[in-house]
Amino acid sequence: MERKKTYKLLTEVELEFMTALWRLQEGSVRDVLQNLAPHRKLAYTSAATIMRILDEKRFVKSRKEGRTFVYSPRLTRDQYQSRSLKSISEKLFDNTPASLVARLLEDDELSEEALAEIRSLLDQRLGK
Amino acid sequence: MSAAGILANAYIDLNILLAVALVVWLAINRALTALGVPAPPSFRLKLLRLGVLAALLAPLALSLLAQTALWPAAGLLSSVSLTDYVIAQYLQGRLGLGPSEVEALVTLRQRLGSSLGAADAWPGAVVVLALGLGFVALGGRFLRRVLALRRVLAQCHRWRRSGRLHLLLSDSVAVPFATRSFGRKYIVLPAAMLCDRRDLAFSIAHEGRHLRNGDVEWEILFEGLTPLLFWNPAFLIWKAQARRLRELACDRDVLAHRPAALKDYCEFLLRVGGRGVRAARPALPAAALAPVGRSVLGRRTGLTLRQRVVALLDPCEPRQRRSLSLCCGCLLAASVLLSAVWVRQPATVSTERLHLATIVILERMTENRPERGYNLVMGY
Repeated sequence: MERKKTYKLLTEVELEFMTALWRLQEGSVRDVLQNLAPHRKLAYTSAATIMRILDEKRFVKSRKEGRTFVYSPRLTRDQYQSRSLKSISEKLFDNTPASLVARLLEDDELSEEALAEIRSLLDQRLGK
Repeated sequence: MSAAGILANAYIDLNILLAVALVVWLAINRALTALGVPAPPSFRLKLLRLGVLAALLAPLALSLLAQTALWPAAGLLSSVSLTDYVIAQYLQGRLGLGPSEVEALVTLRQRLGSSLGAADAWPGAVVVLALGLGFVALGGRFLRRVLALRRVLAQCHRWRRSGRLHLLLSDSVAVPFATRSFGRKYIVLPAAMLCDRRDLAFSIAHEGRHLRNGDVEWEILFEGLTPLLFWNPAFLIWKAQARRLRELACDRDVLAHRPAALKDYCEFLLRVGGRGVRAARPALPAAALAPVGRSVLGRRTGLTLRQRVVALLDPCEPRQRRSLSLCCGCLLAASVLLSAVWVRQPATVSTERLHLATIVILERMTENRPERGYNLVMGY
């Protein structure tokens, strides 16, 4: 069990923890727990285990302050979003991001606002 | 007899004994139900395991006993066989068959063993080829499952440890399971379960029971024997029954310590077990909370959640009396041992066999030379 595979994506619960940590920038287990959604009633030990797993997966780094571990994210929210989209594009859209965008554009629930946002993102990335 | 012949005979013995043990086990279960004697799943499971062990070990035990010249019954054992009994019945006029038919019947087993052992005649070669192909395919499947299990374990995160027991968390499994390596025992839990302490507690209690009851070792034994015995319906029934009963027994054991939690436990089973049924996951050689596997015929095996919940809602059977357990166990073991004595090949040629051989020769002479007007009276 010593050799760990590199983990690319977060599980649902881990994503909740990372979202809290991205908001905090850095914090202890207790800080992260306080920033989780109110319905998420977790024991301290369980939360500490999840943070340790995130550390093992190299999504966060930790340092010890007294008797407390303080965690900070190793990658930004944007970096994770890109990684996540790339993974979806690889797995679901045969590695063709154009299909992914086309699928998004076909989506009836996509509002004009969201479309404008995607256009401005494309302009930003690809240049006018 | 050649080494291949001895192996073929041992293989045939094992298959026959598994079928005999299954019939006796089913008969005992049926009798207990008919008599209204309570038989909880744990009792049935223990009896089942005794039956399988007896079938596996009886030929070996007999071989050892037969070689122990000091043991007074060794001589008696080597002189008893089913074929000799059948011939004796024929010689006493209790079988309405001709001498050639009786000979064909009593040498069927010998011919089958020789044919399998030599594999020279085409029926023997076809059977050996089919068994060989099945062995390779299912042996490969077993190895793939072991490797898949190793991969799952390698990807797990350590959570807690108590002695040789390791509690692991996994991102890839949907349902908790228990397994073991040579020196360690593992309970693997889905990492997402950390968010629900009640599910976590039930899962650990259930999987811990599997480890304590030796279910993992038995699952490995059954999976290991499958490539050898895949074609034998008796073995497949043993395996399915063992899986069914071990889950029922564990469910009962968990609730024995938390009788008030019946509703919560049933909901937990539906929640967690249902997740496992929906998830497309590989079958692993481990005792899972909701075991899902494919039989050699490709049918989905395992106990349905509905059956488990219904079983839990039934009133709990009282613990089995030790004397009755002992009686049932002795009956099963004795039946299998006696069958092993009866079905094995006799070590020496008995007087009955000599008589039959003489009668068959005389019959053939009569058939070949009818013009001489032989008028032999066959049988005694």
